[in-house]
Amino acid sequence: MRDVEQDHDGETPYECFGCGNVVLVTDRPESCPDCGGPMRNRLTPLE
Amino acid sequence: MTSETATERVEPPETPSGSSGTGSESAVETARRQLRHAAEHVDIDPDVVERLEHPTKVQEVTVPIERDDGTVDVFTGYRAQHDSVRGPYKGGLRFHPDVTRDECVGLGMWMTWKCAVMDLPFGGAKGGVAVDPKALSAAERERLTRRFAEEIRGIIGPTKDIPAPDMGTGPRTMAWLMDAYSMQEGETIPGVVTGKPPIVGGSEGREEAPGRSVAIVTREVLDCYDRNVTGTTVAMQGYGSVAANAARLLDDWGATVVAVSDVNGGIYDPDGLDTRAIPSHDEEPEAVTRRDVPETLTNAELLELDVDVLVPAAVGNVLTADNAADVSADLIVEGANGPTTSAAAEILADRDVPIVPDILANAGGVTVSYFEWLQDINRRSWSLERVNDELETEMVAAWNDVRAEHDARGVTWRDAAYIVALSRVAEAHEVRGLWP
Repeated sequence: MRDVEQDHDGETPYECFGCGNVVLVTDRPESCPDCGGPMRNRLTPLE
Repeated sequence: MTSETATERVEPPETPSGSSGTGSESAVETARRQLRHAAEHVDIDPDVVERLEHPTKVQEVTVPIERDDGTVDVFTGYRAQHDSVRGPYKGGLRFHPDVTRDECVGLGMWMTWKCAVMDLPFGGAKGGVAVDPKALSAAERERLTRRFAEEIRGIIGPTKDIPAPDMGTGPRTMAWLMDAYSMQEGETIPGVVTGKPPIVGGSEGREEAPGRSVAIVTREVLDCYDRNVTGTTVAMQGYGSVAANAARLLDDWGATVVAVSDVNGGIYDPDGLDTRAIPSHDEEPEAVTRRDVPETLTNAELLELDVDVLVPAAVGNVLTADNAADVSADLIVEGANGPTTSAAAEILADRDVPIVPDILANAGGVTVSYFEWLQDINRRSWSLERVNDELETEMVAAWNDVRAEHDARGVTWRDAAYIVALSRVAEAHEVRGLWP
C-alpha cells in the first residue's frame, strides 16, 4: 500500500477523539491536555 | 458541478511488485500493477481482473465556501469508489493539497484489498478535497466539510459508502459530516461515517487499533517461525500512535523493545526500554531523544539494528534499495503504509527476510471502523474490552488465512495477503455475475 509523502519536519496536529481539541506539537501527546481523551495524528489515515 | 467518469487504462510497467512504487509511478498505476501480480497466482476469470482495474465510480465535485473575510474560494473534491461486491464502500476522506483523482482511485483499490484480507463486509473507497487545511480557520473547515458532505450525499450512506478520518481530517470532521448528512436526510444516521467522537457513536479503542493489530500480527508471525515473543528484540521506527501502542503491547507480552525513534532520532538500550515510561509531550517535549538511555541513534541507524523484529511505523518509503542490504533484522512488520519500496522488497526477499505487509499488519484501524459501524447500525455500544477481544479474533483469523496461502504456495507474505484478498473479491464477482 502506498500513501502520499509526508513531511514530518516540524509540528504535527493532533486531535482529541473526545472534545475535538487540536494541538500542534513535535511529539505525540499521550492524551488530550484539556479532557484526557485519546489523541489522533491528523497527518495519518485512520484506516 | 458533478461528474462521474471512468479511469483510463495503463499498460503495466516492467517493474517488480512490492508495497510501494517508484517516484514516477502514480498510486493507481502501482495498485494496478500489484493487482495483476496477485492475479498471476490466482485462478480467476481475466474479465473480473479487468473489471477490478477500474473504479466503479469517481465522483468529482466543486466545493465552494465562503471565507471568513466574505470572499469565496472554490475547491475540488473527489470520492473514488473502487469495488462494492462484498459490501458498502469504505475508506478515508482527506483534506490535503496533493489530493488527486488518481490518488483516490489507487488508495481506494488498496482499501478493497485491506477490507477483503480482513474478511470485512466492505469494499474500498477513498476521497478528499484538494486543500491545505492549515490555511483554513476552524469555521472554514466546517463549512468546507458540510458543503462537501452535501455534494457527495447521494453516493454515501451506511449501506452505500462509509468515509473515515484520513490525512487532514479527524473526529470533529466526521461529526460535521454526520450532522450534515443526518440533517438533510431527516434522521440521525451515525453509521454514515466512522472515526467519530464517542459521544455521537464513535467506538472505544479507535486510536490504539492500528498499533494493536501490528502487535498481534508480530506475535503470530513469531509463533509461525517457532519463536516466542518473550525475549524477542524489537526496533520501532516512529513513536507515534501505531509504534507506541504496538511497542507497549509487545512489551507487556514480554518482548524487549530496544529502540524507538521520533522525527529527531532514536534511542537504543540493548536491555530494553520501558515503553510506558517514555514521557508524553506534556511532561517533556521531544521526549524520545531526551531520554537518559545508553545510546542515541539516527533513524537510518535504527533501520539497520541487529534485532529480531523491525517495525517501520512512521512514514512510507523508508526501506529502499540503498539500505535494504544493510537491514539486519530477521523479520519486518510494516506498521506504516508503504514503508518498503518495490526494489527494497525484492532485495529483502532475496535475503529471505520476511516482510509482513501493511494491508494486514495495520488493518486494526479499518477493523475497528467495522466495529464502530456495527455499533451504530445496531444502536449499541461496546466496551473497550469487547472491542479489543473482537479485534484479537479478527486479526488472528486473517493471519491464519494469509498463513495458509503463504504455506501452500510458497509465496511472500505480501503476495499471500493479496492472494487472499483478491480471491475473496474475485469469487464474489464470479458468484454474483455481471449485471445485467
